[in-house]
Amino acid sequence: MDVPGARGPGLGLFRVAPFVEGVPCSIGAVVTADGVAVLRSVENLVLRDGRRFLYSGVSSVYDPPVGVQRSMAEAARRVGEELRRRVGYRGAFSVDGIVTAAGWRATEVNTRASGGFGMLKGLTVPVGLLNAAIVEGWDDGALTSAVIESTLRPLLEADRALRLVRVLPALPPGTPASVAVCIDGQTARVAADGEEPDGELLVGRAATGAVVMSRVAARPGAGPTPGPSAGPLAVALLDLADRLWSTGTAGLTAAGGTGAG
Amino acid sequence: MSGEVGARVDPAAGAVLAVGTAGPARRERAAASSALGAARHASTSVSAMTSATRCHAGPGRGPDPGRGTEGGAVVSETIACDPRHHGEDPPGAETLGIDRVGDGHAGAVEPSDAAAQETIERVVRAGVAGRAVVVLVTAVRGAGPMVAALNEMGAVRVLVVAAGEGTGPPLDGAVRRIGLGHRATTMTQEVLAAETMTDELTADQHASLDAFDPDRTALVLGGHR
Repeated sequence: MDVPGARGPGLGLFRVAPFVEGVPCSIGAVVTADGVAVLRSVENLVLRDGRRFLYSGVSSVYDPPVGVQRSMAEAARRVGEELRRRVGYRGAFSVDGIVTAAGWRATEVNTRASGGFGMLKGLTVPVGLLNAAIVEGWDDGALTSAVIESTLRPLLEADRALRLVRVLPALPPGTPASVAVCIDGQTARVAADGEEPDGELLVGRAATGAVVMSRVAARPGAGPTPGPSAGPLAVALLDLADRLWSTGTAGLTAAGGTGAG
Repeated sequence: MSGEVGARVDPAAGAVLAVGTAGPARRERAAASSALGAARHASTSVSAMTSATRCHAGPGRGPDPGRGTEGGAVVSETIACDPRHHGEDPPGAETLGIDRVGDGHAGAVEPSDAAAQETIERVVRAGVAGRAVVVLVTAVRGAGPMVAALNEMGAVRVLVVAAGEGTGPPLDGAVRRIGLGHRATTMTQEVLAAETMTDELTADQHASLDAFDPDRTALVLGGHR
């Protein structure tokens, strides 16, 4: 099939599935020589522009229902064991899916360290090198699933953050630019002079032309509130970017929003 | 990952090779796939990275997880919610039919295991020290933290292969660049471009890689397989 600009081994492979309403979530895991280390879930920020789905980053702010978290972890562990059994897999992978009203609906497996691994903060080595050590067998068995899980999972639990990434075709006039931002619940605003910000919002160059980016982290009594989906906050940050720099990113909706569909 | 509909064309995107520190090459050119993480703050490494093993100059050694699971590891199941969840309702919960969410902070967060971190760091340092390393990323500037870490851990030299310059602090030191001509207007296209980043190198680009790694022993990080 001829798709302009597209190439690769997956070209021509289509998957057709019913639309499932819910919060897109992913759970990362690592297959080691002795088991499977499972991380906590992250929310895939897939916003909507009518019927278009726009990938907009990752967040560790959202807490799925406890039972769903458990189901996701169990699914990741089972998939990891199956990857090892079938193909001798080692290293990071993730299971993506949707948190629906009826529970966890898995949609795909990514055999790579997907976006959730990029949320890890506080690891003393790049997570890519950790993955390389496991894949390449540098560890001689030292990097057990217990070592990996007891290191990575608490780091994800401790740093609850939203990482916004929304690509643009080109830099808007007056950019690259950035501002310090404060988060009030699910809204975002430019930080006042002297006010401690929760993060930064910027427009910069990217392989796609340009990108709107932000990283805002929860702090005691400030920043994003752990618990609810961070989709509405991502929408608010993109609305703010549009007001500041005419990025054309205003008016999107989060999963389940009234503007969807 | 979820894709996009209605892509727009970006005429400006190009790929680059960026050479970091200099030094002699050694060891085998086995590709360790890895995650550099997706976009970092103030950078545009917007594509998640790989977890497979493949030699960038030929067949991989051992199982190739990326290939081995293509089309064969998709999970499709529904697992019911546990009614014992708790916490605040998310926005849109009524629309979703999700009644409550867990708070995830109900108990104390266990600290990351310091001894385990030390084990990880020791293993990684031993694996990197003395290696020539090729880093595949979508944006040169997104590779800054990785390049700094590799240099600090004793990599003899680092070559960054990227699809664009990106945003954020420039890499330290002199950087040499060669365009690869990739185009991407969406995250999905960018992931596809990363998958095939080194599949269609020109003669000049091959020459650049061979000059960097003449005995083909470099460790290769990144890409999607």
